[in-house]
Amino acid sequence: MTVTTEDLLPFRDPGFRADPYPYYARLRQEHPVYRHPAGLYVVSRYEDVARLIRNPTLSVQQLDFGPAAPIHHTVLGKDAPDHTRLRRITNRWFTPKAVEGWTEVTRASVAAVLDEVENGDGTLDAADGLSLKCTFETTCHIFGIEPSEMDTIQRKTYEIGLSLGPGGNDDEAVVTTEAFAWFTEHIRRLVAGKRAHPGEGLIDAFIAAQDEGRMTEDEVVYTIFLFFAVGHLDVKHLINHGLWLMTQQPGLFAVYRDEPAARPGIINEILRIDTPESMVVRLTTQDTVVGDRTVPAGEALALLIASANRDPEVFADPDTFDHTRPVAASQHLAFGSGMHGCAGQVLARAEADVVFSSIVNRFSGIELAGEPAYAHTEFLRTITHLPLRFR
Amino acid sequence: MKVEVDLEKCQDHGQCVYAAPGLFALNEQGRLSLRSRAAAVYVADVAEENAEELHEAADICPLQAITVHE
Repeated sequence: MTVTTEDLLPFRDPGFRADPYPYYARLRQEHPVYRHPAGLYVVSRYEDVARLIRNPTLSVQQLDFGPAAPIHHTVLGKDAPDHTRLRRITNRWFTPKAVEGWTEVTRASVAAVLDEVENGDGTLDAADGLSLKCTFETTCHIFGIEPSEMDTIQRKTYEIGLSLGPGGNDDEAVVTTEAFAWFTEHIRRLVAGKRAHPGEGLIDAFIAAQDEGRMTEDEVVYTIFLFFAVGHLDVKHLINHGLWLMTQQPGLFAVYRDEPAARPGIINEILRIDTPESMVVRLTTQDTVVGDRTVPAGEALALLIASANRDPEVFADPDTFDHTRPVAASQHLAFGSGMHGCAGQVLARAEADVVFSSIVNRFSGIELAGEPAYAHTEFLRTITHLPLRFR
Repeated sequence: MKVEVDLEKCQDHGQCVYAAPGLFALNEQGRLSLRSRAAAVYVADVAEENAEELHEAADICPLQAITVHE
């Protein structure tokens, strides 16, 4: 660990937010365990991040989420045994067999969008018009509800995300609190609607779990919030970023079309090279060895998964997109790992594949029809506009 | 029946431990304990009485790293 007066991770700096990777590279090289001025211990090397992210003594339940405190009612904010109890309620909903059914909804949603593109002028702002739309409609189908309030849900989720990184300020905290209030009211209304008109969706399963005493009401409400959020937030970036890469590397489009066996590797490489969520945060509950230092109990660790995914010790030439990297050499950490690893990753990969496959099977290429726009935070990579022309 | 676990795919989510506590466990580092017995692929016999929990574990593994051979 090193104490320096210079802020090596200037979370609010627009340059850092646009391209944090040079900052990460310097940390890995010079300060692999860095005490940030905000008080966090920042861990940036793959080996350390991969080990710590599985360390069962690190807590999320004891973290202070500030204005995002309702997250403590979800798996993201609970340790065992509550974490185990909640995760068991939902894990069967995201098995490969279940996902096969869900992606039929994604496929229909994508087909409808591409029909309009074909019948229109051949252009589309893919960020909201495709990536958001098809993932949101899939989430709503899983819940067992009609899609509604898509744009508001996207905006409110982003406003909560503003407070999840270490760089948030008071204004963002107010916006986050208001966004949670909106979600709470919206979701209570949805649950009341499902109680009046039961179905067979995930919300019905949560209602049953609550009635059987396996979930509290707050757990039901905020788990639904969490699935609304992660149902689009990260997977949308995976899809947007993949489409953007196809416009920059014309060969990629043809490889995706002609080599189905290469598709999982391409999706993995998209996730590795621009990881949607840059970090996970944990609290030490005992003396914890990090690199060559020992961090005492009660300290927050920021595990920079986006930095780990560009560690040259593990990924040769890490800033270059290369979908032919050997799988066995290592695994990226975009979905996390260990007990808090992403439970929806089978679905996320499948949704991205449906979008990419549908496009390459129907068009001969895509190109930018305008400049993309971004709203990256220190925590979330976000493309807000992605104007595409389909050929 | 046999179980085959691809330890290069596995990312230690521990879902198999919840589904089949009689077959899988995590060690103190939060990693699958059978990693001490194999590097890349773990293969072992499984008793018929554990068939149901094994299938459950194979089904819910987020990485689909568990294969059941009847």
